[in-house]
Amino acid sequence: MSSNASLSSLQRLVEQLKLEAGVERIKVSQAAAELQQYCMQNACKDALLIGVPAGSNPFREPRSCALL
Amino acid sequence: RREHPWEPGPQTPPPCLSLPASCRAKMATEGLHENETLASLKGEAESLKGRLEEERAKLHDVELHQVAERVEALGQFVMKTRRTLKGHGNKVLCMDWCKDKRRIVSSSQDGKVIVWDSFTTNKEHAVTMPCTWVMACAYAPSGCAIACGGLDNKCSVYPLTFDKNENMAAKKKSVAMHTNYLSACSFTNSDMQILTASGDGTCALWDVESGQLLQSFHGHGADVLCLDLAPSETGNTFVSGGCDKKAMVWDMRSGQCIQSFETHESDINSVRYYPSGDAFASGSDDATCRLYDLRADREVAIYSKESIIFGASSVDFSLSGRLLFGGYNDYTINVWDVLKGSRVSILFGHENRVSTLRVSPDGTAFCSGSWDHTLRIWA
Repeated sequence: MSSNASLSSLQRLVEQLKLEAGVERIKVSQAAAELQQYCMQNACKDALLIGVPAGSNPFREPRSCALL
Repeated sequence: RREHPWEPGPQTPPPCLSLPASCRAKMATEGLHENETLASLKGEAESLKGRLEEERAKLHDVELHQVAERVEALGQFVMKTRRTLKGHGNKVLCMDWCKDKRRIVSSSQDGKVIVWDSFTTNKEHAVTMPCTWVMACAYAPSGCAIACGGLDNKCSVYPLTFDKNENMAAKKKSVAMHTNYLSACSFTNSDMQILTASGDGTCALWDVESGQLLQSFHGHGADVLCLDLAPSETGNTFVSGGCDKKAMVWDMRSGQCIQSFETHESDINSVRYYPSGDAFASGSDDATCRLYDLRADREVAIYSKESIIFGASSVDFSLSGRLLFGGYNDYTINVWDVLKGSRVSILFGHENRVSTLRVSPDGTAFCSGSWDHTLRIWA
């Protein structure tokens, strides 16, 4: 019966919401600071961010052309 | 696209006019009782949702871009198309990098799946699927196989062989079976397991060797369009996005949804973890990309502009997480400063929708695939 299905899916929804309400959270200020810190710590390895010397990026180095 | 299954359907009175009065009276009372229970559960659900929003709001003490005010602004970006991969006969729908940072697998509406050497642009393998709209493809961690699927409702694995006499299609192995189209697939940390997302509203984890279903993930109220696995250091979770506008984070072992986020105003086409695993980005038909922090349990940034009115189909981060690349349905790629929330560059080149976009494993380049039949490597 459709109302039984609605009942059980609502029960599942209530259980799921209880679970999600119980999640431990930190403040946005702390989360944001840590996201920023990760960026800063890894910036030097990020070729798309800082660029790398012309020779060391395989996609940027000049390719030789073969004349057929 | 299915309606949200969490919403109960319209109430119908018990059809029992042919039964004796005593039965009818009993059923009427039970019906009334069920209606009361439904109403009270609905009320409980609403108040729990309210409580969830309140708890999240309490910790919303600052915006990400405010924290990032003191960070140095990014300079001008020079990113150009360095390679164009031509060979697909129709729209490119999906692509994935091999761990060797060089090979790429791509799939197309015309049923073709191609493996390319992105340095030379040579095609190394090609297979024609028995279906059109191959919406999902993935490279195995070993580099020795690829997985793909689409309108066939399956995810199949093809070992890659360099034996010119061997037909790639002959060794095909059907792994996943859904009841609607396959929208996304990804190997886990090994070649042994595959995670899939489907138009049937579920995600599933499969054993490649036996084809056995190991875990299924129910909770989305409509088609699931995308998924991404958490970086291996952060444990066994993944995030999925769907036509129900929800992004859901799942525990792979238990099948449980751990967290869910519903702030987008339309379908979520793409989800991707921030490299640290503490956050993920999403791209949506509502023309925005958003950043959700998992430990703050909320959306912490929106990447949007009034001039951007077409959906974002695909997103990925640069290696440090500072840049977010978004491929859009207006044929462009927008590059966002993740911390400051501003756009730092707009890349033109594709002649139709950008449908797929991935940064290479070592972050030296990114690849975009488009409905213009080509893939481009940018660096």
